[in-house]
Amino acid sequence: MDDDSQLVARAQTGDQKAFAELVRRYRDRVFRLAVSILGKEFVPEAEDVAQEVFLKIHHSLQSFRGEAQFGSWIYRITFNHAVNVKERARFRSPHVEETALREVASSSPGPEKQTEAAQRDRFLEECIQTLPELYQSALRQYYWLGTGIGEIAESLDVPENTVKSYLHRARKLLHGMLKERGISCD
Amino acid sequence: MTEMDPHDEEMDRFLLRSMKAPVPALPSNFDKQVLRAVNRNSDMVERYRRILFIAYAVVSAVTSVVIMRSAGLDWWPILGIVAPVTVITAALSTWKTKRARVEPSEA
Repeated sequence: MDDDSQLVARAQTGDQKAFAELVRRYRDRVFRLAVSILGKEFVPEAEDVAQEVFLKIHHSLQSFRGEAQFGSWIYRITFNHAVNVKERARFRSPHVEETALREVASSSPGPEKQTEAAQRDRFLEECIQTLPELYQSALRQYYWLGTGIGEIAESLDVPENTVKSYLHRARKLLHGMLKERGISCD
Repeated sequence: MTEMDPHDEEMDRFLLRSMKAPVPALPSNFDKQVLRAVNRNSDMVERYRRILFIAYAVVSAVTSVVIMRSAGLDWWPILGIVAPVTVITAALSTWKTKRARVEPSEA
């Protein structure tokens, strides 16, 4: 099987099959990185980001000189594009309304606990939104998407120890924020 | 993971519990959508390139004819210079376009 650099070289000469193989190899990782930056409420936007990233890649393939790894290049483009999309999406950021919380409460057993949990999750999501983008991405990739430290490190282009330190600092910050709001982590 | 203090461990468990949610995935036809969009984009770029090239060629030919006429050259020598250049350029352009169309299907 060809490695990335061989596929890139073939795609640069106009080989559609090589480009299709690159899309197949990176589609899920690009999508996971995009969704980890945008959050659960913006899955359709993350799909669009993934598609636009591949269009950008195809468009600028000729300018890729192979000084960096193809993976690092595509992840950097994804990260920047997702952050831009998030800036725009923030103005119409969906959030759970009180009425929706009441609906959850009335439709299932243990209404108080359900409401409490929903409220806590909403607060948690709000707190996560205030963290730096890199921390948010590392947190969502690790705790939500179940991505390993190694793959997170690759997608954020940092060493594994840095990812561990992002997670540690993010947990510390979140703990402080939740404590301030009187939310217990038990 | 590195050794965690009790608060960190508590937060780790809390996040594992609270952030648990269905993991989204891309639609199965995502690759096809991307390739279709790529082809659409390439076609558009190619069309603009062709329009730009033809416009440039026409302007160049007209300018050359005007300059040669103002230099006092007769129509026949002008035609003798411009016609072969035009024919060669048009032939090259057509050949390139045909090759570009054939290559993706061969790949």
